[in-house]
Amino acid sequence: MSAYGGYSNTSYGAAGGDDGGGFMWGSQSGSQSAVKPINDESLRPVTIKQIIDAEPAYAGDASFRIDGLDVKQVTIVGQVRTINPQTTNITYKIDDGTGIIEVKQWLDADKTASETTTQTISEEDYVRVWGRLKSFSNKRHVGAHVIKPIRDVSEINYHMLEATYVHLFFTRGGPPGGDGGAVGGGDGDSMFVDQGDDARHRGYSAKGRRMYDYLQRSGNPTEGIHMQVIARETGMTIQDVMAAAEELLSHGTIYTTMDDETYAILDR
Amino acid sequence: MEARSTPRICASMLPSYVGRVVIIVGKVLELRDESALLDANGQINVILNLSSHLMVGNAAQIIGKINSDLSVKAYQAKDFGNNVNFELAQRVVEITHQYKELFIFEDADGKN
Repeated sequence: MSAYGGYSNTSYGAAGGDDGGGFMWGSQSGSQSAVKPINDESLRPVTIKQIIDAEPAYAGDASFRIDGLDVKQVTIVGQVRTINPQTTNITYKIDDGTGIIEVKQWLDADKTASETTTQTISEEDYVRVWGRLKSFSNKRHVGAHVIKPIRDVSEINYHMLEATYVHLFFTRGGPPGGDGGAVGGGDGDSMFVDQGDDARHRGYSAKGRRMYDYLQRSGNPTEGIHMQVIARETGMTIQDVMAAAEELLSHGTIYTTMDDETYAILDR
Repeated sequence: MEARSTPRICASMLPSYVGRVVIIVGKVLELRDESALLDANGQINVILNLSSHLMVGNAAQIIGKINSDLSVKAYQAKDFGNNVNFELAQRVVEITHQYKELFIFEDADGKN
């Protein structure tokens, strides 16, 4: 695929140990059955403000957390402010109205300049960037795998809605379980105020959240609730409940009571 | 990396953003010598000091500063063609203000 021409492991390896990674659409496929805990390498649609606001996950390491989740691969849509060709890369300043960030496209030494995408992108163009979040001397940038001009203006709006959707999915749960999630309460701001349940909730998959919400709604009896009941009451499959239970158990959020299939929330 | 936002707004939000640089997407209703009338959920007078390539009937994205008389001095005017869903654009504007944590860095001095 010619569109992926700029995406090559060799040039990235030279540029600082980038292992590339796949393009996975992660959890936002919309169907409940496809919802999985987000993988580190999942591609996440974000606004530039989210990148600037992202918390560094470990000191000195180029990993970041958005909404409490590790994020490495991102896609952004914005307008090109400046193009700065250099020997080893082309640095673009991309502005999506929420913030401005540098995007570096490393040049493949094996290709001549005419083969790169420079010609097709000019200042003021709207582009979509797929890339990896990087940090260099405390300055963040996106190491681009692909930069493509936007052909349809709707994609700009689509991207902002998708970034919002994914943010809400991870902070409040997906649409199917959303009603049970009176977790964050009113406005998005509350996620910084609420502690306790909300903080423990963050980062769980939709299934995990749904199971937790149900246990909480049902008053969390000390004898626990059997997974058959949880499955019936939440409309999840047994497999989903088991996956959710495993996730919540691994975080120490719930514990097993009478047997291995009966769970209660661990109150802390 | 610049923590500086250019909020997306529509006509009704003009008074709240006087003096700030904003993004407006709307439909070009009229083109005059050095100005344009734009519909973005209400009419906006846009002052174009540049040779813009806007077309009447098409959508346009204006990046510019809001004057005290609520006209907008365009720094950049971009033709967006005739295939823009204005209802969608309007919803997106509302959503960017509903979820400011994703879209808008607040400016301490009200300027950017």
